[in-house]
Amino acid sequence: MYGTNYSKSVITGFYTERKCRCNSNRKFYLKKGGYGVEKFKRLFLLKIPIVALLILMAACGKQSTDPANSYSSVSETDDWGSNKGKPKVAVVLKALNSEYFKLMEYGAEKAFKDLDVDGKVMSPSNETEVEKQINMLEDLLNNKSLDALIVMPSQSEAVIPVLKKYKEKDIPVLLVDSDVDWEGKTTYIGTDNFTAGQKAGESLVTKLGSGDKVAILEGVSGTPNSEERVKGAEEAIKKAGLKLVASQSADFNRVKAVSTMENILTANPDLKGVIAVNDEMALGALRATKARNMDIPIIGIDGITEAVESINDGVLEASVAQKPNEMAYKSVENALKVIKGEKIDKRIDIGIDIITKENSQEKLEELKGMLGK
Amino acid sequence: MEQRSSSIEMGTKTHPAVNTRGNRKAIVNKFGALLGLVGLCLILSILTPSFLKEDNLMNIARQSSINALLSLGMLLPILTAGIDLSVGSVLAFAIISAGMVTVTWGMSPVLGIFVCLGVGALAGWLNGILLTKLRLPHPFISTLGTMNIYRGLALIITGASPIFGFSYTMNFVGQENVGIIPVSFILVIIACIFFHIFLTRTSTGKYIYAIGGNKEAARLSGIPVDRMLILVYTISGFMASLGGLVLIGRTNSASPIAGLSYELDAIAAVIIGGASFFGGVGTVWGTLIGAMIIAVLRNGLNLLGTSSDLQTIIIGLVIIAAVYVDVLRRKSSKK
Repeated sequence: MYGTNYSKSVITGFYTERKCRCNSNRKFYLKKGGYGVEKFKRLFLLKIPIVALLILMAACGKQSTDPANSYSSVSETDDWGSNKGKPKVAVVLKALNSEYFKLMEYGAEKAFKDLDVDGKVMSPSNETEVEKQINMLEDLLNNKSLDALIVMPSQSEAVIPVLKKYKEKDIPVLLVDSDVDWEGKTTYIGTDNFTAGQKAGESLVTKLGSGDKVAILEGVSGTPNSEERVKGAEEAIKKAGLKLVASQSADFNRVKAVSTMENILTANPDLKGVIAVNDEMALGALRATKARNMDIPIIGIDGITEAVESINDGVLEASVAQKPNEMAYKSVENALKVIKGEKIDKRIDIGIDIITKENSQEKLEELKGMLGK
Repeated sequence: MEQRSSSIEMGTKTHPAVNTRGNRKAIVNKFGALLGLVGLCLILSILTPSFLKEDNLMNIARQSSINALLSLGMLLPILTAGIDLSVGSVLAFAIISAGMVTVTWGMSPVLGIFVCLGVGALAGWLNGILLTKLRLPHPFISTLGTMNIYRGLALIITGASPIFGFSYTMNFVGQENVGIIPVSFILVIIACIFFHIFLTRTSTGKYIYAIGGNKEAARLSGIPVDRMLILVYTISGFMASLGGLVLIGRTNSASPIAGLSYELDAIAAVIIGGASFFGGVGTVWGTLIGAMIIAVLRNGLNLLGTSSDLQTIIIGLVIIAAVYVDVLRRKSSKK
């Protein structure tokens, strides 16, 4: 109670002072409480937030309004935009807060434009917001003119119930990047993590000889992205007769990778090469080897800008890149095919790029172009 | 607002609603948040045709339920001029415990539900003990600490990976409907009625308001302040785990990172619903409306295809606008 009284007196005090400043007839205003002006002001102030909100929402609601384009039968009422006639595709990602997601957004939006699709890229603000993504999917389901859904699920098992509802409404569901073990999916479009790991292993093998000691930095234990890549890398290493002396997890995290790598180097000072199953960890491992003045080949996976820059500078050896932009582009392309009634494969592999010093400059420019840097 | 007239007279406190200005203002004060909700629904039903569809309304009911349950729990600490930052972590810790019991150890799902709720209440009780027995200066600190502790425990227990494969019984509350109405929303309504009676018709409820009004005065008039505070945080923890139970059904899993930043949504709902951070002011129905406003807003913005970044900004604006309107209201009725 104490608090409330205090704050009230502060506010009133401020208000009175302001009133004094703008009105010469002080006494009159203080005595009368300036009721007429006050009331008007109050009403006006009350309305500001409401009006602002209205405008904001109206702005969100009505974005581009292209002329109608004769296409599949789309109902007259549209929840986003009013592009009658264009096929309507929603792309729901895990988040939009990292380079990887941004590249996917770029790819999807390019496809919307190229293929004349009324599309929308949406996502919760964070990968961890599993429930918000489900809410989003439930809400989109009520958008009765939606022709296809492309989704990158935050948590595979969690989205199955809501995806089933799409199936019931005969809306095709295309999974992108992260697969779900669910019969009803129209297709899965992505890259094979095992192959990515294998390619990373093969790149390392070309630099080393049989019997050389190598290490693997694993990602978050239990995630398919990490497990599959590690398996692939192990296979390539074994095949070439290299000696795997350490395989430890650094949780896809750069800082953790530095200390994990330091420990591995302490135990194996004669290490000859490293595979990190993502670029963040590769860059962390690089810091650890540099601190010891070691110059051994380190291979990453993902192909993020910073890693490509490092390869371009001749520091990091190579990175096996997935192509998120192409993944998203292809998913929109395939969604269109499905809407038109064409048959598509249950699994579409986008393939991978191996980035080395030879093609790093070109790749770097491409990346910067897409990210608008 | 109505609790003011029925609550113990603490002398200095006069609520704006109880004023000579007459009935009309009192009604506006009482239903301010509700008017906001109705206005919001009107705008959305004009902007998007799907908004008023039955399916969509049920979606809103379902999507608001977790936050509504957490907000009801959060209302109590805020009424006592406190706060509970740990609810999101308590939720995660509780559902992980339930997951361990039912999935990993294969025990009965009924036991799992009890474990979930029990762990939540226990975690909340510990918050209360830390606050009252260690004499930490503000619940912000004790619950900030436990927020990290419970989250860490949940991560350690599971090795950071989610638990899948809950049985139908465990999923029931979050997944099933009675007719077309989601079970989770029915749970919310029951909880609201219970809380309303608890806060306005029992002496314990009135003590809680009194503590928020003036802690020292409450203590001097013989209210067992410490015991009340422990109770308040225990209930808050319990409600968090109840929200967790719904989340299990919603996501078909229990993840140690579930409920991240849910405390902020809960606080927002309570504040939008007209409660005061200085304690002693706030109602159950206001809180429910606050939670509904957030859910309706998110739902509407999803229907409109708005990016999540913009959504967060809009929710932020609504919080500020709601509290500002409240400030104006108080000021106008003070005259």
